[in-house]
Amino acid sequence: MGRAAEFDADFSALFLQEFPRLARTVHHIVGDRERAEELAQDAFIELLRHWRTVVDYDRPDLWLRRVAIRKAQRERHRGWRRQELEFLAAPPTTADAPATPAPEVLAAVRRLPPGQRAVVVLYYYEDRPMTEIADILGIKESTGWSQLHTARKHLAAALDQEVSDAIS
Amino acid sequence: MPSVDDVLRHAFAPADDDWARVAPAAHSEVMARHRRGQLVRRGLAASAVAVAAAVVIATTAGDVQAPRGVQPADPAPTTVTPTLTTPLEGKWVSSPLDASNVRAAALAAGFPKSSTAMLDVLPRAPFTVVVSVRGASLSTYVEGAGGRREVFDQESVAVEGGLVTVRPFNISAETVHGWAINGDELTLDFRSTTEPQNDGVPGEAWQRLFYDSAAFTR
Repeated sequence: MGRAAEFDADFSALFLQEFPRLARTVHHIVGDRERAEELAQDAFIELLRHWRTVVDYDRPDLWLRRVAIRKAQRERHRGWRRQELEFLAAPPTTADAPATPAPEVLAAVRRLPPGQRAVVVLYYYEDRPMTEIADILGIKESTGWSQLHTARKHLAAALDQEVSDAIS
Repeated sequence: MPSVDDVLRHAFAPADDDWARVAPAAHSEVMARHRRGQLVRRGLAASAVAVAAAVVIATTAGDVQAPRGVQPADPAPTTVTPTLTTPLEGKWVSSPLDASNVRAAALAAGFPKSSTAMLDVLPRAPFTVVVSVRGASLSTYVEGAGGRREVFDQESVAVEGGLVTVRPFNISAETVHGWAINGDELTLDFRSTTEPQNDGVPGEAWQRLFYDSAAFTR
């Protein structure tokens, strides 16, 4: 197999393995399915541009998430003031997404500030350890834990659930 | 009562197979966007080299005509040469196009099979073509579902009589279209091109698709 074919095969394998989960993570962060797909694609294009370097990393999937989530967070921060009222006022939309047993939970997650939301999605949806979450988000591990605790309190209040200091 | 942690894990647990279903199409789109990005970057790089060369030549010529240390006694105020505008000045948006327009353009160019390669690199249909003319420059974007824009052409543009001539910045070629503006509607009519094939798609097919498939409105 030539180098170009090998490159295509490696990239395609990584894409098909990582895209569904990455796109869904971004969807939980930006709240819009179509935009999530675009941002996930943008992250893969960045990966293609840096493939020669990133392919040698132990965890190219972490690099990919870092790029995608930063793009998503930049977008949320930029649009925060302009769009947030409208976003919060709208009922949680499920028309563009598969049925979920807890749309009100996902809606509450989407009302969190972008940093907390990313930590929650990576922790509860992607089930990643805080060391990886901190690496992906470019924050200290202690900051990640602090954001997670704060987010849990907000979510417990919004959902009328119990919350303890210990994360179960 | 369940803990907030249990509630969150439960909420995120259901599978969402839709993302796995769209992954192959998304993969094709990413590869196509990457190829287009490389083409545009190569074009811009070629333009930058040309501009740099022009600056070197102009600087050298300036040195010859006006040696350092010799200042005009009464320097004239700096003036900016106004950019020449054409009747096409402005932003023009086509009506939505789809795969049938791509096939028709490929067929009209005499390469019906090239429509497959064209569809591979175009955004998902329906898409619109946006032509932005500023002075002597023309940029053509294709806007697909979701509002994403991809640059397809960056060219110089010149209008003479009923003909408009466009020349890509990155290759030596030119394409001529007839043009007419009726109210706010612009129609273009392919006449000739010297653009070569690119990835099996003749330049004529792209020209016919982008500029002749539908009328444009401001």
